[in-house]
Parts: sequence; C-alpha cells; structure tokens
Amino acid sequence: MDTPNSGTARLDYAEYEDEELVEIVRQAGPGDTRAFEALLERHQSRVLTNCRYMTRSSANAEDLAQEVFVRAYFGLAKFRGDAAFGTWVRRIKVNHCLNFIRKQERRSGEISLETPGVEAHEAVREEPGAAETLESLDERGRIDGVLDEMVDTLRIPLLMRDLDEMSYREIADALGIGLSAAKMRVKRGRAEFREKYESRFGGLGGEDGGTET
Amino acid sequence: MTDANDRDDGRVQRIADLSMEPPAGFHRRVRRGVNRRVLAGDLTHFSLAGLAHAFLEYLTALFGFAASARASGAPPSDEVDTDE
Repeated sequence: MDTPNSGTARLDYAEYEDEELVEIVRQAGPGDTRAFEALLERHQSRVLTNCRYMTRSSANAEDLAQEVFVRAYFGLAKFRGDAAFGTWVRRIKVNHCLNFIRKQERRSGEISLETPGVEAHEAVREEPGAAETLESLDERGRIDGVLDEMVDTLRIPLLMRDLDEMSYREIADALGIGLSAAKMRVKRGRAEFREKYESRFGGLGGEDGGTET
Repeated sequence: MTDANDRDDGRVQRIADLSMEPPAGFHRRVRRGVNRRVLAGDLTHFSLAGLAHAFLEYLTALFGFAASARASGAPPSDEVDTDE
C-alpha cells in the first residue's frame, strides 16, 4: 500500500478509508501517530459526545475519550475488520464508560445498572438536578439539563439507543440485562425525557413527538 | 448498529443530534497517552513488519548520524525533544 509517510502529507490521510488507515498505523513505527490522528479526527466528536452524556461530565468525558483512543491505538492488533472501525471504537468506549460509571456507583451506593426489574417500577432515584435554572438555558443546555437529571438506569440505555444507535441486543449484553428489560428501559427513558422536557419547556414538536412502537 | 428488525420510530431526535466538539489540544493529549505507553515498552499493537521497519529506521538513523558526525568532526549534540 502506498502510504503518505512524510510529515507534510497529513492532509493525504483524509483520502484513506478507515480500514486503510488502520493498516497504515500498524505498519508505522512505535509512537508514529500521524495516521491514527486521521482516525481520531473522524471519530473524536462522537466518542466525546457519548462519553459526556454517559458520565454527565465534560471533564470526565475528555479523560475517558482520551483513554478510549489510547486503548484503541494499542488494541489495533486485535482489530480484524469484522465491524467498521467506528463500531469497534464505540464498543471500547461503551465498555470504558460503563466501567467508570460502575466504579462511581460502587463508591456512592447508587442503584446498579444491572439491578433486575428496575425498569418496571418507580423506585429509581431521582437525580438532584438544577431544575429551577433550566428555564434560562438555550436549547442545548435544556437537553443537557434534562438528560443529566435522569437516572443512569434509564438515561444510559436511552443514550445507547438514540445517540449510539446500538441494537437492543447490544444494549442488553453491555448492561448485563435481558433483551426485554433493555427495550423497556429505552422505552421508559424516552418517555421520561419527553415528559421532563415538555413539562418544563412545552412540546417537543415535530419529529420528537413520535409514538413508541 | 441497528438492523432492519431492530428499528423503531420512537427515537428522540434531539438526542440523536447531540454533538460535542473536541477541546483544544485533544490530539496532543491522545498522542502523549500513546507515547507514554510506548516509552513504557508497550509495543503490542505493532505488526512484525512494522516493528522490523521501525528497527531498520532506527539503525539507519543511528549509523547515518554517527557517520555524518565522524565526517564533520562535530561532537554529538543532545537529543532534542520535538514533541509539542
């Protein structure tokens, strides 16, 4: 494969597909991250966004996203190309964020993500959000505020489904719960998001008014 | 990814559209994270061909530098860290 190895050829990496870049990274010398940075450029926003909403913290998201990409770099030997590079990185990200959240849960004694049946009743803990200040925020801030108020047991499956576009089976496997529980948590998460948002800011309108199937 | 049998129309579009720009210096942070592990001896991600190539480059640079230093009579200079 013809590879752009000179230091002035960074722009050329943009012409390569992800899988070609992976091969270039593997062939590069230790610590030569130029081709990897092209992959980073393509996927960083998605990974950062997901880490931010999974953990409710921009500072944590930056640390976690950095660790996700470092893990991805050193895990490339195991990347066989069965799935797209982006899907593979997403898997690393989901596992890394869930481990982080579980550690936090253990420390704080919160209801675990794996707690069976938690999606079926109302005993999930309400986050102490800054509800009184949400009205003054812009649209993005409102969405952030409502999501950050939601409990992990509903927010995380919702994010996995609607932000990460994971299948229900993938969500169930990642969270260690059953398929029907995963579906129920997503459904309840969507309902709770809409309810909280609408009660504060009025109807979601348009495409967000869709009915659950 | 969702497949055809897994699709539903209850998606919250506002969540699907969320996007966050990386902070300044994010690439540098990742690069440093990688370099720290490489310096600690983690070479697990490299193919044998990549390692052989890197080793050859190292030898070439080493002997090329030594030959050039002998020819010019210049003393070896300190290593310069070019990383940001």
